[in-house]
Amino acid sequence: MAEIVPDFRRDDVWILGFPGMTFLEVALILKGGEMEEKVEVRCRSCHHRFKVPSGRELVECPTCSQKWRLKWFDETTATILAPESWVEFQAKMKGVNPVRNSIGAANPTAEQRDIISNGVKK
Amino acid sequence: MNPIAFINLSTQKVVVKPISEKLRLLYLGGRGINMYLLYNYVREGLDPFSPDNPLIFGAGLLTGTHGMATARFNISAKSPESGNLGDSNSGGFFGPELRFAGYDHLLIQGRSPSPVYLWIHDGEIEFRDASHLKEYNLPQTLDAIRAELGDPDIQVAAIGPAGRKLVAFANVMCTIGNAAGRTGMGTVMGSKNLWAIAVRGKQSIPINNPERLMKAAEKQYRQITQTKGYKATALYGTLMRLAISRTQGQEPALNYQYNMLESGGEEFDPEVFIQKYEYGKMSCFNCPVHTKHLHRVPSGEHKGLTGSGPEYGGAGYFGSSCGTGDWVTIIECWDLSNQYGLDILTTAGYIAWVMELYQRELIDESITGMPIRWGDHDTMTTLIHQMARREGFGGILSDGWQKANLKLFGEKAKEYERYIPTIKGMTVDQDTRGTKAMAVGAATASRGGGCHLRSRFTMEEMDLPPEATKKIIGRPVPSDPDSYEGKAYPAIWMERLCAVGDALGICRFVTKWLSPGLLGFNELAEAVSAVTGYEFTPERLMEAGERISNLERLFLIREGLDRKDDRVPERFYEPWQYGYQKGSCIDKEKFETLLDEYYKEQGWDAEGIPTRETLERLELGEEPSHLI
Repeated sequence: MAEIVPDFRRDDVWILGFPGMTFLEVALILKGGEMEEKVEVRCRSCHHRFKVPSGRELVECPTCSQKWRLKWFDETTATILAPESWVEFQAKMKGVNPVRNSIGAANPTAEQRDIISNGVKK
Repeated sequence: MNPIAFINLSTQKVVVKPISEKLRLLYLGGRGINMYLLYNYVREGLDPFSPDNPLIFGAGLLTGTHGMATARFNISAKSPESGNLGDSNSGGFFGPELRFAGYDHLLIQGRSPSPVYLWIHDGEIEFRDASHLKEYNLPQTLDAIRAELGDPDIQVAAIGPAGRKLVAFANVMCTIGNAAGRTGMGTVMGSKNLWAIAVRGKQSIPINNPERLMKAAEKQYRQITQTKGYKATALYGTLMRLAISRTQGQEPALNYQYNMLESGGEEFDPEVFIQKYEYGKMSCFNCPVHTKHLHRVPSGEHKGLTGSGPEYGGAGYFGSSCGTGDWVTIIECWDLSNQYGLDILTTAGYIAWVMELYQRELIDESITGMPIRWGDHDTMTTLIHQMARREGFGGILSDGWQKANLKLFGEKAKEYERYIPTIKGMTVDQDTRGTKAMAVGAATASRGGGCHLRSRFTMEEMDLPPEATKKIIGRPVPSDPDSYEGKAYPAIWMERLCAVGDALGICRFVTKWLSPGLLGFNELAEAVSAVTGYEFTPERLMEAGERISNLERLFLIREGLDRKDDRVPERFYEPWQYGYQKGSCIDKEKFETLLDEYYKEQGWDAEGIPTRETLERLELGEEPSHLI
């Protein structure tokens, strides 16, 4: 098995022309080996199970095309941690801003108008 | 096994009694024996603030042994927060140390004329003056007692300023990050003028067959550490749930008005917390999972803020529920609550409630004295200070939501109850609209609040094929979490596993409550057999769980609760707006049918009262009894 270099980042791999892959995957491809797809995860958007290449940190669900960040605990154990982008994921899931939606008073106060215009402030 | 100490704070007298073998075999220990004592020592309608209200500390049957994650103990009393059954569970090191000090259970009654703490060491129980702790917050109280007694390894369970001021939802904290939070057990402790209990001992815990227990523990360790649930929880702790809730649309957003919240964006992610704020992990006694985070804020206005946590309760409720995804706000609210000794879930639940009231213009600045905006850092921290100190608008909330609701709305109080999602008087701690086994478990949970630690059939959201659930619990369960079909038994099965886990002093995170590959009745029965010397089959262990749940049910019935109280909050009849389970909600008619099925499976009548036949089968026909 190829040695994993801990500091090797996805961006570096991108330069090599292998976007989104880990060094392990790149090494396997360069060696002419085939990627094994043993590990399964379940899409948290459409709930279909799909296989993922070992070590891949960003995957796309073949059913609904949602992109997910994976967390690998070891070579055979992975879980979906989060969408590639929370903002895009939520926009896709919702389409509306719940905060704006929740300010439902018929005659909003000036402060509520401010929240409606500018969102929730810290 | 160790005995029970009956402690009277009014007279400063202690009576020590053994735990009979029969009681031990029927109720095991921890929550089981606590519930037996609570049912027998509380009379119907007792005022939770009465000196007669028994405050019961109970370590589990396996607590302090070399089984896996054997850290837990329970604190039980009649709850000043809900007015019903009070029971809360904590990890850390206090439970094991209580057993090393020579006691498995403490039953405390009476009221001390002045503040005291108990110093329990190697079988001795001393009453010591606590008035010098008056100005200390909770971490300072823990440190001061250890320093005073001259031993850093002393374990202390203490209340903070909120408990001393009898705030209805005060907790009892052992180390920072280990709290018996729910149902106001710290308030009961405060009402007795008992400010802390310190324990230390070198006594051994009698184990019938240590070699057999060691073998069982080795097997358990291998089993636990091979699961994905373990690996994820060991890294992210309960914050793993944050990522799941956010992707699945199970966030309690803006006081459960929505099921997804945009605030926080990319930052409101467990990985971001780990990278930016976590500097270490902490474990309870003999636990391989070590879920607790240690945090430090590295920069900005709150630079240097350190502490333990937050858990999902903080992220989900100070976060999503109060309308923020800002980690620093969540961490500060978490730390403040811990310093005052406030229950996190209730505190956050009350803040979210008044935020919604303000949003709906049902209260305004003439009442609150300040704008109560969603997600506002200063609003949240100010309300926490006020609730704990009983000052200003927050002080109205200090006596619990029922009294606050009356003060705010008078005759209209009933009408506005719908804006605070509660079950059996406690604010709810999970949105179960899309998971029907969890919903019926939450509605019937004995301590109220839809408690996720009383019954939460997590396998329901794992898309397991029915054949898999049949192998695990003995019956196939439809993999659709929204289906009502066959969902009563899984809820009951998990309820019994939770009751057994608490009676043994085992953490939920090593049981099938978290992940199907973890410990269940089979593995726990082996450990119980090794400790007691009696052969416990999985069925016998499950029956002990059933007995504990039924005794809790009898307590609730005696207090006047029945089917009408086994419900979900009104808001859960409204559909989720977003995500994979968009449209999910509780259908009233179908839920009533599910409740009928649940009662039938339990051996209860149509009103949710255990039948005579059920009580006799479980040897509960003669309760209250005198097995002590």
